Amino acid sequence: MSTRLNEPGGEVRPTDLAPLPFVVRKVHKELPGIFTLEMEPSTGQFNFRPGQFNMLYIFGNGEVPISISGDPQQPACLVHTVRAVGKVSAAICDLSRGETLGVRGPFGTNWPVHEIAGGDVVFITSGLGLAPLRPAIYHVLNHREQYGKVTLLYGARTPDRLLYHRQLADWKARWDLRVEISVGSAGPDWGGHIGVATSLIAGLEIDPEQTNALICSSERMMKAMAEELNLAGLPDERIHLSLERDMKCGVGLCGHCQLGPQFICLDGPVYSLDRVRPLISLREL
Amino acid sequence: MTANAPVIITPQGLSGLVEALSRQGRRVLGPTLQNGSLIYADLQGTDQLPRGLREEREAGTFRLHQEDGPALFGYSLGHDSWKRYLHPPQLTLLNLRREGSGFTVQARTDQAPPLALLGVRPCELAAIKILDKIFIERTYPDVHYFARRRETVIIVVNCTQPGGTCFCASMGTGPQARDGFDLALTEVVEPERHYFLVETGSALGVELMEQVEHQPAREEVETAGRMLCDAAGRMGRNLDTAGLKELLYANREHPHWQNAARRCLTCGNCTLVCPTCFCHTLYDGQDLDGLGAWRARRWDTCFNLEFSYIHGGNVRAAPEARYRQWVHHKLAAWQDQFGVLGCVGCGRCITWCPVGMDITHEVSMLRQPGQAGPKAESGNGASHG
Amino acid sequence: MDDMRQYLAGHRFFAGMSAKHIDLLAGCARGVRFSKGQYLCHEGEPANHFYLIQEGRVAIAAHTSPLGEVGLLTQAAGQVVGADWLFPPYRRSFDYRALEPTLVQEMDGRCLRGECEQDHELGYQLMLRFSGALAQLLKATRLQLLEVIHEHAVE
Repeated sequence: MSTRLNEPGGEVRPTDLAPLPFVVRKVHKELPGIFTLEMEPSTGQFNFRPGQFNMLYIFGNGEVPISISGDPQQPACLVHTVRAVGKVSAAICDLSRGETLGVRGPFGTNWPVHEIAGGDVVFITSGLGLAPLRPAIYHVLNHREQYGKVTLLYGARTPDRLLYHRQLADWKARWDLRVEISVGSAGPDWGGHIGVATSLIAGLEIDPEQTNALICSSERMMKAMAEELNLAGLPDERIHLSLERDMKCGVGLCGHCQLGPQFICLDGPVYSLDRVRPLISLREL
Repeated sequence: MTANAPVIITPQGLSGLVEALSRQGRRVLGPTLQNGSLIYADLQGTDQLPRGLREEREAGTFRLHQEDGPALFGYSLGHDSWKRYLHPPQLTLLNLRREGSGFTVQARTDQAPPLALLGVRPCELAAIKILDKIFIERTYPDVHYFARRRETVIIVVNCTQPGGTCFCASMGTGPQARDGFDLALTEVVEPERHYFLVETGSALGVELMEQVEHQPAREEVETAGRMLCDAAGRMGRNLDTAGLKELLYANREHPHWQNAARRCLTCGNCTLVCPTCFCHTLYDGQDLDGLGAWRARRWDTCFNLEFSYIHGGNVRAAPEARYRQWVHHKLAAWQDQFGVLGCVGCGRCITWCPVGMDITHEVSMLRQPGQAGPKAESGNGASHG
Repeated sequence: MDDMRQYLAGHRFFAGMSAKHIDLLAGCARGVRFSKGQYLCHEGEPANHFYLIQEGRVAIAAHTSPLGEVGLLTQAAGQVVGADWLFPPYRRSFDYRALEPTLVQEMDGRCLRGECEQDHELGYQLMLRFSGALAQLLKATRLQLLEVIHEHAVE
């Protein structure tokens, strides 16, 4: 190597952009257009941190970045929940058991589940946002004794659009987890909250010194959630969110996912709000 | 000879240098005139260098003139940059093949001969060093850039004739290169003499010069030094880099961006000719037989509407947002990402913009107070990727 | 009456109002109980009251064909429901249904309208509080709308 070149910042691998073939073991339709796939890693184990994502590949077709939705403590099974919105995601949702999906990853930063241990945790999410947050919920429940009060606030459009509704019911039944669900509208059979998920925050009684909030939704909703959390006394450093931008390479080289100086695929997608507030407050940044 | 003692070579010596590089099995590239354009292409010898060529450069204007003189490097830059060889516009990255219900992957590695770049201007050397930071000094280094770059020989030609839109002096990147090269040449044309002052910058540079006829340099060092100093004072543009990052971060909503957006066509020419723009897109395809597939990449530009597409729409839809993105990235965010400015002052973006947008002007307008009142912002989060 | 005065004086909605005004409000208040599923009022009915929810939860709903009754918002203890009493034609825009056994303080809006005409300071204080609550609700409603639009755009 030329004496004039500095050392590479990491191992130079020809395969950073190469997907591995994983076999689909189970496909489950969650909601219209939303499917959960369970896959067997080609290497037997797929270790990841909650909040990370993979680039999922359909042979000859393309890749999409999808958050991992499974339990980090179950590395023998890789779980992704995918919504069919484009040609690649639709092809992923169309896969059946025994077929192969290309997987590249895991990439990105994780929910700070270790850093927030010892205190209370509030998960706040709506719609499909529950999918990237679920691994963090799994982690906290798997290590329940390390945390104080744990609350999940979840908003969905209608009662029949609750993601993972059976699991939500299981969680709601736990005595060590408080689950509050709000829907945007409902028929007379629904006796629960109706309204936007942010309206659940005021009723929480948060101890700001002790609590961290992990939130995942559209940027607009997350800002509204943060506003309510700030009103309850929670500072931006204790609010953690997952951002989303167009990703192509997943390794910080193609430039697509930039938000100001941040490469969302490398420096994110999980951030504490104090680090990114100026960036998400500006229109079309 | 010692590494630090400059020497003199004649144009014949330069020819000898090209031969020495070829003998080493290198592919020698240098400036040539093709179809009326200044293009970096293969050199078999110094005959292909555009003798007597002069350029005329302004915002939105570029003209080449042929004169009688002997100078081989009497111009500065065309639209072409060395980026094209180190980070090719289009590149196949992988081949995949169906196998059973799965597939296998073959990473493509280049077996091309190592490059020798003859005629790298100091600003271009600075650009290459920046590309090194982008593609090599990262968590996930790029194997393709690394393979091309690691054995590349760099022979700088310092600029004694700055172009009309050049501002390397204010960016600290020229008109003289300080380090990072194997050899650095300064061409001196006098009525009685035509020679090149040669400085070595590496062991390979020393080795090459041992194969080329040369004389020790004496008063020529001062001559060349004076010419370069003079060139530094004849820059066509200037960019005040003091507090540039803070200035840009604090003025994301400055009314001048709307002004700029009224003129910018979002054509992306600037990103094509910029020697440090690195953004690209990945795309996949299948062979006709359906058994093979490939992954490739090609240059992309943040001026493309779809560059920032996520499901539902384009994050940066307004031209104002896209022009702002480019300037902010180049001059501010780049510093947080890579520890250096992204602009080297080559002036290509000014010259090859169809409407003559001038980055030095647009930025200087931000130093005027805006009616809306700039918002002071601190802490945009330094990236460590 | 003292209990009522104490309850109103401690209510977040009326925080900062003068003792004189609290007295007046106490005189316009009446506790009413609703069982689960019972309607506080129906769309179209005259709107001469607003409700302070003391216990329980109330759903604000609209009937639309062919969906039937659609719940749009739930309000719980401590919150105030009903703003149609403020402006003509003083008619309910929505159905209000108790989701569980609910105790409300039913405030006499017709009486208060008259009092506000006489005492503009009272009028200002109430308008200030109601406009604040409505602004919050409008914001929340728009967020709800934005969520639907966002999801629709993606699909």
